[in-house]
Amino acid sequence: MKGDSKMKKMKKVLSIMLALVLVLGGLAACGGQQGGEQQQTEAITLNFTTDDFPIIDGATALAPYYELMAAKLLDMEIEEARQWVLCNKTDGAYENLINGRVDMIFCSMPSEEQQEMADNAGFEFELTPFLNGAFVFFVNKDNPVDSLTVDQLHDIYSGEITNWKEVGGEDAEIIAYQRPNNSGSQTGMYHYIIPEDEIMEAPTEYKIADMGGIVDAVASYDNSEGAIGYSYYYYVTSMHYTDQIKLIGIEGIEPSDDTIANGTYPLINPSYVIIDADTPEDSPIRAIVEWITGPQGQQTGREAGYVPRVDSVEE
Amino acid sequence: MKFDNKRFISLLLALVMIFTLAACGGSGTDAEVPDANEEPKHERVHMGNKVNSPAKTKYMTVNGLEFTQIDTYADGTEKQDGIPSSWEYLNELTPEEQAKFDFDNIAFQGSYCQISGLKDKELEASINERIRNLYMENLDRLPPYRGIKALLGDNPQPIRQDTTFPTLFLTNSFTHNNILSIHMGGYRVYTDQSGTYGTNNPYIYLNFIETMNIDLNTGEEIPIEVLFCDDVDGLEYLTEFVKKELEKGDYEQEDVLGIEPDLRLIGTFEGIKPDQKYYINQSGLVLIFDYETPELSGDFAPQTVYVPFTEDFAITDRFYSADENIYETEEPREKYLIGSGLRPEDALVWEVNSDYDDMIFQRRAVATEDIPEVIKDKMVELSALDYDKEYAEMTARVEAENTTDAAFDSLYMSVSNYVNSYVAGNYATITREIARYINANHGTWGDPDHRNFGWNEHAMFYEVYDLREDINEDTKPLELDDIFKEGVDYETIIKDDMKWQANQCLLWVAEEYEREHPGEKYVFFCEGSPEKVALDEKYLDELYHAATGFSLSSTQMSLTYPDYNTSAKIFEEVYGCDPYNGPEGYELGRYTNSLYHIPYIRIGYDNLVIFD
Repeated sequence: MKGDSKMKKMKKVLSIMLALVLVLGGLAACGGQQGGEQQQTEAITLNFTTDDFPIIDGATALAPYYELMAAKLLDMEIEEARQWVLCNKTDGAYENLINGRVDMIFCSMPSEEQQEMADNAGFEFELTPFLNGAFVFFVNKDNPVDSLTVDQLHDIYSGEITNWKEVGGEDAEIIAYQRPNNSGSQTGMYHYIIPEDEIMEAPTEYKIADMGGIVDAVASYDNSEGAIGYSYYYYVTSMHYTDQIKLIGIEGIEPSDDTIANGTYPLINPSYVIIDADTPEDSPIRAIVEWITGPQGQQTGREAGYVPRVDSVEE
Repeated sequence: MKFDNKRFISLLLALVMIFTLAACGGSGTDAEVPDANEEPKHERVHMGNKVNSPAKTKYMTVNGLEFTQIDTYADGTEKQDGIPSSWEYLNELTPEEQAKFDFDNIAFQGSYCQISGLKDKELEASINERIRNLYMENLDRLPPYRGIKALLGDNPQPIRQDTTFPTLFLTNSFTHNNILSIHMGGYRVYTDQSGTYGTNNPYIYLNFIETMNIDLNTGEEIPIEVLFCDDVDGLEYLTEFVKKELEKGDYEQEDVLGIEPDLRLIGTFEGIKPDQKYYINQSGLVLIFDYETPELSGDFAPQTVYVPFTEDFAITDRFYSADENIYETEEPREKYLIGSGLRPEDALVWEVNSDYDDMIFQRRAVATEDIPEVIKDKMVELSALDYDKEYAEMTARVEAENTTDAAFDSLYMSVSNYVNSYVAGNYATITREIARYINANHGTWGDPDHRNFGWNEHAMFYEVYDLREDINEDTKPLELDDIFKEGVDYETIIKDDMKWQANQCLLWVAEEYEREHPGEKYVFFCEGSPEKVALDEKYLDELYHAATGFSLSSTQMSLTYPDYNTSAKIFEEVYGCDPYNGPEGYELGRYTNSLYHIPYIRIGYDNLVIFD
């Protein structure tokens, strides 16, 4: 009958439509996943053996990063990969790079001495920032002050500002703890806040020999309400001290993984992967640098406990 | 048949939705992926007896084991006669003789131990095999330190450097309360193959430690948290302890010039894990941080953190029962009171007074944190010095000697009063050491009119307190009655042991003398005294009653006297000669000073209350 054939035709059309919808719907819904898998596959095309892997060296503080990186690029368990990357510390790593004994190093900015060594050797560094560290200040958690400016910090540590009420806090003496001259925190202080010849002389009891000690002094309950101290974000968060202290903002920006990653926190202390500027463009060394600043390298930073750099992530 | 379009279309739509959702189930960057790195919550391991804090037993009992040391060559074979030592090889063999031996093999220094004495021989054999395997597996193992293969390559060989040879020593560090703790330390030197280690130092000095901690009842290895009482989170306890240790060191090692702390933080410290490497010693645990804990170690040597025992540890009662003996020997086994093992805190008082002419006074009191505050207060009081009185008495001594025309022209006097304390088991002992010293001179050494007056006095005082008591400022120190069980004749016990010690010392001295002087007889006492060895009971009696106090250490009690010359003075009264200046000189002085340390094992543990 005519009605029946019409019906059959309709069913056929609807069935074909169903099939098309199912296929297209499946493809559309899953396209992101497949695309993502394709992106990850492209990103993991770097593969090395211990024979052809570039020789890597670096600062001990960055070892957790480049060990994990090596594990991924060598396709090894990290316990094995860790044995294949050098860790001769900052001075040793820079010397090894300049003298051509290693191919890439992971360190902070070269010091004046290291730059001079390179200049004398005719060596040019190529520095690529890949992780962000931060110089942070902390006060006792009960201190109502949440943020200070760099100028205010300068004046506190020069001795011009001595009471918290001068910076919006309570009427209490500022106990400004310091670190010894040969410590990294004190070097940071001179770099970010106040030169060495302007910083006030700290009473002996306010000069804390160890990093943990300065955090403890600010956190303790004895005369600590007015205390302020400083250190590096990675160390403070690694030791889980934040329940008794609070990190304060600088120029209104609080230090956090986000503000440090995107560089909005003012006192950023980047880490660099450093190679010879004359490294050929097609060298696997440059491929690794690109990998480091790409999504997998940045994810590796997160996994290793660091703060990556937002502007190095491909969009 | 009527076609139901609505139903068909509804079915179509439903199928599309289901299929689409299924296809999209794990896709896209927004979907949640289970965190493969998230570890399941740790469930505490339970072994042995149930023990809650505070742990009551404050002493350890030695296991009834014997240990045999097996020395080996580098290939693990046992050392044997006929093969020269490295010294003999280098100094006594000709080149032709040397060619017969592999010097690298025989120069190696290593040994492991094997146990015997368990009733369960099958278990004993199994434990011995595991100990031996631990040793053998590490003879040429390259510990997986950070960067080691980048420096040395995949299969490096250690070198001999002058007289430094590879070593591997495995021994027991703790064998008490049915726990056996094995500690193995290795040392090697390698040559840097990468040229990156340091231009002035091509050698890499590598140390490593491996351990094994065994419950001798079952042979099982003991996870570290099992050593804590059931109601104590041992991993959290250790984590907090290690964090405090990390605070003591500046771990910003990249920028600290030349000063590196022993324990360094390299990565995020997430706390002590259940499989933390450790070994046990007599007063605590030693945590090992090395390649197994890369966030807490550096270079090529393990770092250690010592954790003293406290009442939160179940180490005495977890695997031990006094009613059950798992050893073949029925002999009584030595016990020792557990010391606190804590390091002293900052001094309670530390004063140096140089206000008086020619005189230095020093006063100090130091205690550990487990000493109660009321005892610390007593210690501060005991450390006090009456400066005026001391100065007057000391200068009077000098004046009494200053009677000739050659008056003293240089004078130095000092008085020091040091008070310390320590804990053994349930007892705290305060020790007070007072030393007085005078040195007065006229003229210069060698001059005809040179004259010197030297005098010194040294005394030790002990006070013992039971920490289980409610101690206050009026609490008196314990008496000997308080540490012995009722009815025990401790005076006889102590005197008998003094006699035994004296005779042992005298016999040894006599043997040595007669060996060096064949045909001669050693005369024990001064001229005119009997030659026999027997000790005059009067001497022992006077010595016993001259004691003014006692102390309790982990393994012995010690009597204390007004000054350290007391025993020599009594000796001179009884025997009529000065033991330090008699013909036997030093030997007799040594004997007189060694009689008042009485080991608990010779007193008899059953006679004492301190091991209850």
